[in-house]
Parts: sequence; C-alpha cells; structure tokens
Amino acid sequence: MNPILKVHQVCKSYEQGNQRVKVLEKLNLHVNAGEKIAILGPSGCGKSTLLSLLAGLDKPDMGTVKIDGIDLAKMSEDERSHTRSLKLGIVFQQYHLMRNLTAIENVGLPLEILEKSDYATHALTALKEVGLSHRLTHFPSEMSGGECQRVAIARALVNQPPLVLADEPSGNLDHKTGEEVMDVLFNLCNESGTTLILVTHNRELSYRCDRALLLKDGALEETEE
Amino acid sequence: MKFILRQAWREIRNSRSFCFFYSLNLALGLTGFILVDTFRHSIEEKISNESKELLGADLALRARRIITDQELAQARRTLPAETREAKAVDFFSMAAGPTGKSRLVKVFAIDPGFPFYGSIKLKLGGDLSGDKTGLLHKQKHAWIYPETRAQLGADLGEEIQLGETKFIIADFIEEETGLSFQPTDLAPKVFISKNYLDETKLLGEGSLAFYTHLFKLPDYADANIFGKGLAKAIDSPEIRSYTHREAGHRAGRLLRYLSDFLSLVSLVALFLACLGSGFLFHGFFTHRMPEISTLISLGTTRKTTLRIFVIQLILLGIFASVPAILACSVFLPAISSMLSGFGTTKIEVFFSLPSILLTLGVATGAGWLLALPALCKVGRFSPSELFQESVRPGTISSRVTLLYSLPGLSVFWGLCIAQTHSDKLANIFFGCFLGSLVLLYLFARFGFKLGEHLFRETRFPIRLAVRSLSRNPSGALTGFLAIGLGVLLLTLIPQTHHGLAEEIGLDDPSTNLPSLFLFDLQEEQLADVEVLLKDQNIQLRNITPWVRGKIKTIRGLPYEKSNRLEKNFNNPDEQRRNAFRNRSFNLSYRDHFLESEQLLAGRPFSGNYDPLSDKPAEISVEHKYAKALDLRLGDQMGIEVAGTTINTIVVNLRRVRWTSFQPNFFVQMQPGVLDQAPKTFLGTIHHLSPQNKERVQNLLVREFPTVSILDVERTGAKILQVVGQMTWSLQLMATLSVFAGLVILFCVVREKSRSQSWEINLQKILGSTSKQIRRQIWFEFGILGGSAAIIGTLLSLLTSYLLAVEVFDRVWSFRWDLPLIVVMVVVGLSILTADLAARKVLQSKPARLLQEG
Repeated sequence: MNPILKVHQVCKSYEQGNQRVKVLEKLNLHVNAGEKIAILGPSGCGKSTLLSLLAGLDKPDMGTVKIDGIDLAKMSEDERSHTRSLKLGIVFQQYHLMRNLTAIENVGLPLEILEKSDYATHALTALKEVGLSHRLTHFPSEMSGGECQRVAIARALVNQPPLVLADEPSGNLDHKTGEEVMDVLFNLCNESGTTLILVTHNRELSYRCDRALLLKDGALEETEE
Repeated sequence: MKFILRQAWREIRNSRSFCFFYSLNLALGLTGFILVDTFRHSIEEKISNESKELLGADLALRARRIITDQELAQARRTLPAETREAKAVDFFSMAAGPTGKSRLVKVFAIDPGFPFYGSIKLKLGGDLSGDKTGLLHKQKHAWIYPETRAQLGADLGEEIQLGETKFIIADFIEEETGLSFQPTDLAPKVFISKNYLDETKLLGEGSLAFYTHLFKLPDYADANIFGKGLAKAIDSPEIRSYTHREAGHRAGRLLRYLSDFLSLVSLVALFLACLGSGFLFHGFFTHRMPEISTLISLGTTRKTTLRIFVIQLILLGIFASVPAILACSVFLPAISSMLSGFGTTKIEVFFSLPSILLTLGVATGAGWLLALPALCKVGRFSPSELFQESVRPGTISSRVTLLYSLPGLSVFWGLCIAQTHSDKLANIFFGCFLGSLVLLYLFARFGFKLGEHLFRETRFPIRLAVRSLSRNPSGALTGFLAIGLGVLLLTLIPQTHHGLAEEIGLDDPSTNLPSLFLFDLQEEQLADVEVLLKDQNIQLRNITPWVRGKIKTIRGLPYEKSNRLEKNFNNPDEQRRNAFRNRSFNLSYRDHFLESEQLLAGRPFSGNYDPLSDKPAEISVEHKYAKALDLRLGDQMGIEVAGTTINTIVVNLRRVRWTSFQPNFFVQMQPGVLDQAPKTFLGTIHHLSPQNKERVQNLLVREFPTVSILDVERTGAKILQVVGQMTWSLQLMATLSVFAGLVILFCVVREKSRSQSWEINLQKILGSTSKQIRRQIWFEFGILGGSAAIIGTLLSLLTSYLLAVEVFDRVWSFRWDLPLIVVMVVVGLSILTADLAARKVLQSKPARLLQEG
C-alpha cells in the first residue's frame, strides 16, 4: 500500500534562551491510507510540534514530511496552505471555531476557501452526520463544548480530506461527552475510509486505533500493548 | 475573491459593536475633513470660474501712481487691436453726509464700460453691466452701500461730500463685482464716475491711490498668453500686471488662508479619528488572532487573510463616509451663512464630486494604513500555536511598529501639503504636530512610570489606577495622545485670539491706542490742522512724514525686475515675500524710536545727515522686510525718491509692533535727507471719548475734506471680527477633535474593561465591591484625562508663545481661565466617559465572567 503520510528523519529544535532544545530527532513515520494511528506521550514531549509539522504549519530543520507523496518542506507557504485545504482536516483540543460564524458557516469554511459554490449543502450534510442538524444557525458561544467539538469534526471532514489530524479532541470535555465525540469521529473516519492521526493522553482511545505510537526522546516507537 | 468578500462581510456582520465604534470614530474625523475640503473646493471653484467677474476684466495693470500714456502705449502693443479698455481709481477718503456726519469710505472712481464682466447690482437700477452704467457718468451721482446711509445720515437723493465736491446718492449697492484685489475691506465702497474725480481734489501729491487700467480681450484671445506678454512689456517695478486668474487668487487670499488653517485643524481631527479607529482595530484584530490562525490552518493563505481584513476596513471606511457626507450636507448652509460678510468674496459652499471622492479615498485608505502595525502581525505569528493551550498574538517591537506607522504618517504629511496652499505652512504644521505627538508620548510613557513610583504608598484605588495606566501602555497612550492633542488644539486657538485681542486692546482704557489716525495730510495743511485741534484742546501726536520710494540697487547691484515677478500665485509664502519685494515702498524719517519699535541689531542713527559729507544716508529697516530683501547690517541700498537716487546704508534692524496703530514704516531714514522731498503726513489723536471722537472727525472733514481719518476702534473691531470669525470656525473644528478624543477614550475604556474583565471579575471575587472598582476606574481615567489635558494645555501655551514670537511679533498674553476650565471639563468628561464605557463589564456577574475567561 502507498503511504498517505511519510515522515522521514525529521529533526526539529527550538531556541530557548541561549540554549537549543531538540524536540524531534530523526523521527520516522509511515501511515497507510485508511489507517488510524494514535500518538501518545507525556506533556512537553513534542506532540504539538509534530502535529504542526504534519499540518504544514511549521517546517522541519531536517528531513521530509510527505502527504500523498508531496513533500511539504519543498513547498512555499501558499502551496502548503493549498495542500492543507485539499488534503488535511484538523481537529483541535480547543475546537478553534470562528466565534463570529454560525455552525453551518464554520463547517462550510474549508469549502469556501476552495471557492466551492455548494459549500452550504455539504456543510449541512456534514452537520447532520455529526448530529447537529438542529444547531445550524447557532454561534459557538451558544453551543456546549461537545457540540462545538462536533462542529469542528464536521469541519475537518467536510471536504473529504484523505488525512485528519486530531489533537486531544476530547481533552476539554467531560468523560461522557468526550466518548460521544470520539464515537462520532471514529465512525465518520471509518465510513469514509479517512486516515486519522490522533494525538492523545488517553490510553483507552489508543486501543480504538490500528496502531499506537509513543513519542519519546524526539522519536516515535511502537507501544507494547 | 468571492470568499474574501464574503468573509469580510461576515467579519462586519458579526462584529457589530467594533464596526459601529470604528465607523463612528472615522465618521467624526471625516465630517470635519469633508466640510473643510468642500469649503476649499468652493473657494477654488469661485476663484477659477468667477475670476473674470472678480477682476471685471481679462487683464489689468495696477499701480500706486498714474500709469503714463507711454506705458499704456507699450502695453497696448502687446494686445489685440479689438481690446477694450477702462480705467478705475480706488482710494480711501472721508465722506460727509448732509448733517456733517462723516466716515472713512473707499472711493471707486470708474470709467464707462466698467466692469466688462459681472455687474453692479443696485436696489433701484437692478443688475447693471458695464455698458449700462451710463447715468453715473453723466451727473455727479454716487452709489453707496446701505450701511453707509445710516453712518452718514444721508438718504436717496441727498448729497454726500467727497473732498471738495458733493455727489447725489442715486442708488444703493446690493452686490458688485470687479476690482476685487483685496481679501477684505476696512471701509464701505462708494462708486462715482471717474469724470468727476479731479473736481474732488482728493488726489494730491503723495496721496495714496490705486490706478487700475482694465482690458477686455476679444473672445478668441487667451488671457494667460496675453497676460504674460503684458507683464513682459511693463518695465516699471511699480506697475503690476494681473490676469483675471491672478487677481482672483488675490481676492480669495483671506478665505484661502482660512481654508488652509481649517484644513490643518480638520486633519488633526481626522488623525485622531484614525488613531482611535486604529486602536480599536488593533484590539479587534488581537482578539481575532485565534480565528485567523484557524483560517490559516484550514488552508487560507496569509495573503488572503490579510485581504479579508483590508476589504473589511475598506467597507467600513465607505460606511463611515456616508454619515460624514450626510452631516456635511446638514452643516453646509451654516457654513455659508457663517462666511457671509467674511472677506470681499462671497462664497456659496456646495458639494463637489472631487471632495466626495477624496473623502472616500481617505476613508478607505486611512483605515488600513493605520491598521498596518496590527496587520503586520499576520506575517509574524505562528498558527502552530493552535496546538497549544492558548494562542498568543505575536508581539512586535516598537521599532517595527514605528516602521509600519511610516506609510500612514507619510500619507498624513501628503494630505497636509495637498490641503493647504503653502508647503511651508504644511511642513511647519506637520513638524509641530509630530513634535507634539512625540512629546505627549514621552510624557505619557515616562510620566505614568514615574507616577507608579510616586503613588506606590497612596490609597489603594489610586495606587491601582496609576499602576494600571503604567502597565497597560497601549490603551493609556492612545487615550493620552487623543485627549492631549485635542486639548492642545482647543486651547491654542482661543489663546492666540486672546493675545491678538489684548494687543489691539479695544477694551483696555489704559491702552496707548490712538482714537483717530490721520493720513493724507498735505504739508501745507499740517499747521492749520494743528491749530484747529489746539483750539479744541487736542494735540496732534506722532506727526510723521510719508515719502514714496523705489528700490534701485541693493549692494550696488540693480534691483532686477525678474526677481520680483510673482512666480507662483498659489503659494502664500511666496506671495507675501514677493509682495514685499515688488512694492515700491513707503518710508519716513525721524531721529528716535517709537514705543512700538524695538532695536534688534545695529546702532541708532548718528544724528542729522550732513549733506556735505559723501557718506551714505543711514537707514533703519524692519527686520522682516530686511529678511525678504535679504538685507543685512552694513548693506548699501539705492533708493529713488522723486527721481533722485539716494545712496543709503543699513545701520540697524528693528522690530515693529504693527498692531499699535502708530505711524510705522518698513524703512526709516535719518533726518536731514528727505526734508525737501514731496511728502504727506500722518498723525494720531489720542484719548477721545466716543462722542468727542465723532465731533472731532466731523469737524476735521468739514474743514479739511481731503484728509483721511481712520477710526482705530472701528478698524480694530473689524480686524477682531474677521479674526473672531476665523477663530470660531477653527474652534468648531478643534471641538470636533476633542469630541473625537472622547470617543477614543470611550473606546479605550471599553476595550480595556473588556480585555481586563477577567481581572475585574477576580477583584470582585477577592472582595472588591463594584463601587470600589468603579472608583478605581474613575481615578484611572480622571488621571489620564487630567494629565493629558494639563500637558496638552502646557504645549498649547508653548506653541501659542512660539507662534506669537515667530508670526505675530510677540503678540502674546496668557489667558488663565481657559486652561483651567478645559482641564476641569476634560477630567469630568473623561470620568463620565469611562464610567459609561465600563458599566457593562461592571454590571456582569463575576461567575459568568469567570466562565468566559
């Protein structure tokens, strides 16, 4: 199978005062289409840095990050933005919905960025799929945390990207709501065959994935379970 | 593009409160801007479209002496054969009514045919063009303005005395055009036929009168081209040639000065409005950072993101223009009526498309230019922060902020130049403005830090208030700059006006201002006038000879005519300088300084001139006149008086207080040189009661009809009236600036209380009552408003003093009540504004705020 994501020998470090702190070191990752991968690791191990690199929001110091065979590092910032709009869906821990847009407008945004005229129809379908057809015109401030995260999931999947990056999607939610939201995410990814990379602290969630990887000392290793 | 527009519209739709205050702020600044720009355009339109009517001809020659036949023949050779001509003479004179009541008038003695363009509108005779003024030339008729009727006690059909002849009042003037060279008139006009001028015997040797020769070109001829030829053909530096356009510019000078000053003040209001809008946008944009990051993470490029906000600002600029244009249309009639009687040129103020387009341009451009420092953050922050707990907008250094502020400041400077007719004025203003901005910034930056240190042991609310000002510099500085600049303007204008009013001293009985100023006193009349006055127990003081002179050489070099050509009529600085250079000048002689004079450099005269010595005659030159002619101490100057060239040397430079109404001259010569030269005399009469003044004036006019008398009080009042009208309109604009400043303060407090709602709420949870927090806000913004008002007032005092020294020859006096009132009112308004703006946050429940936080 062709990998949808190929990360090869990626290094990333940051200046911290006078010191340079290595966050990722020769990190490798191959993810096949349709796979669900969980990335585990303690706070500060570099999970956010890795997600930034996978999303093309940051550049590695060394190594390559290829999505669908396209090397993000060789692209300009605008090209990376375009690739992101086509190939990636992202779910954040803090939802990051546009406060001044309604639920349907938030979901339709990725399609609007691609100048697709039928964005509203697709957004409506996506919202129905996450069970929010009754919340179409509500603003984020008028919805609960769980509902906001469902909107975020619908937004991540509305343009049918081959790869979804999810950063602790249930991290801000209570246990029950968190489980419901994760059910929605997993079900939708399974139905559409979308590849999912899930960054989480939650071991239980990792069991629902095909593979679980531990980010440790700047590199990924398979977990024992 | 569709996405950008849609997204920009959504930003507007869903941030109504920000958009409202942003547009309100901008609309305030734009209202002043469009009002003044409309006024400016109306003046330009008037001058351009009606310049022929203002002059009454296509071209004119004008001199303070009779233009000789030879000179006229020379002029005619440059003009087409079909050119029509008319002459006119204008001068000040006394007019007396049938009951002996008298007053100074401006006599216009005109030829048949005048005016070639425009008309003289009479109450009975109607609109008379130049060809229909025949009756005036057949009999000794006079047309007067209605106000003169009451002043002279003369009605229709009655006679008025002009010099040694009586004229019948044949009609009253309602409106007239032509010979509009002066920006304002100190005396009402009286029209008579030139046929009867000699009979008045008003124009003797040395009398001050303007002789104008008007030309109407055939329709096919271009006035500008023939105007240039005419100017070249006239050798004499005493004769000035005008095209109708140039004459129009001269006539509209006062209005143009007013529009220049108004433009600059309105630009401050606009700047403040933009500053407020910029501040609001900065807060809004910072607040929107997480959303911007999200947009980028969804695949929007940074460029597209920027475009969304630029489009939003452009749309908001357009929204802000609409109420500004509407407000302007409401105020326009008020401006028109305010300007009635201001200057000689009547201006109808009307909307022009260029004004509307410029306003739209400024509204759409100014917003995003001032938002540049905030917008530049888009290129600097990292959206990868979305994966962290909170998104922090990238902070940028003050150097980078300054760099991004430069385009906005450059455009502001460009507007200053474009909106005034004087680069010098615009540059001085911009320099002062920038200097004030820097000073206010420094005062605020270091003052608040110092305040925090000084007040660290004071009561809790004061301590907290000062600490808040010091540690949240962005909002505090914006509010401080806005209020400080507004107050500076608000107090500067009346302070300057007060200085001028004090100097003229109409209300001050101890002033040394003369009651009457006599001129055109012939040498042979002088003794008789003195005797007549002595009989009335009145002394004629400051008797000063008045001699006409011409500059022939400076430092041995001929005073070339090319140096004196008016190169640019659009520039008042050049105009003033050239007016100095061009003119044949008046001079006098005496051996002492008057109290209105001050020696600046050099030495007093060495005594009477010794005709046997071959030394040059000593002269004293007024320092600004010397500067215009580039004259320095020790320079030699050839001055022609009555055909004889006198070699002179500059022995001193002096300052003259022109507002003293004492007989002062640009050039004074040592006694013993001009004693035999043809001359007239000036003199002053002091300390007359109003009744006595009228009686003495009427007596003098009866006995010496050719002597002209200026009622100093009336003239001073007229000057103050013009200055007052200017002050009033400038003050209105300055009030707009203060209002803009208060709106900014409202926005600052609102933004601040919103961004600090978490802290405010925490204070509540920790036990502070709403009353305590409210008091703290009062202290904070009372201190902010008060300190900004005090510093603004001090800067305005300094500026008005510098203006007095540099422009008005030290006409400065301190008005203590105004600063005090302004500071107190601004403190009160600041507290009130802050209270209103913070009310919503203060009334919120702490638990809810905590959830939001």
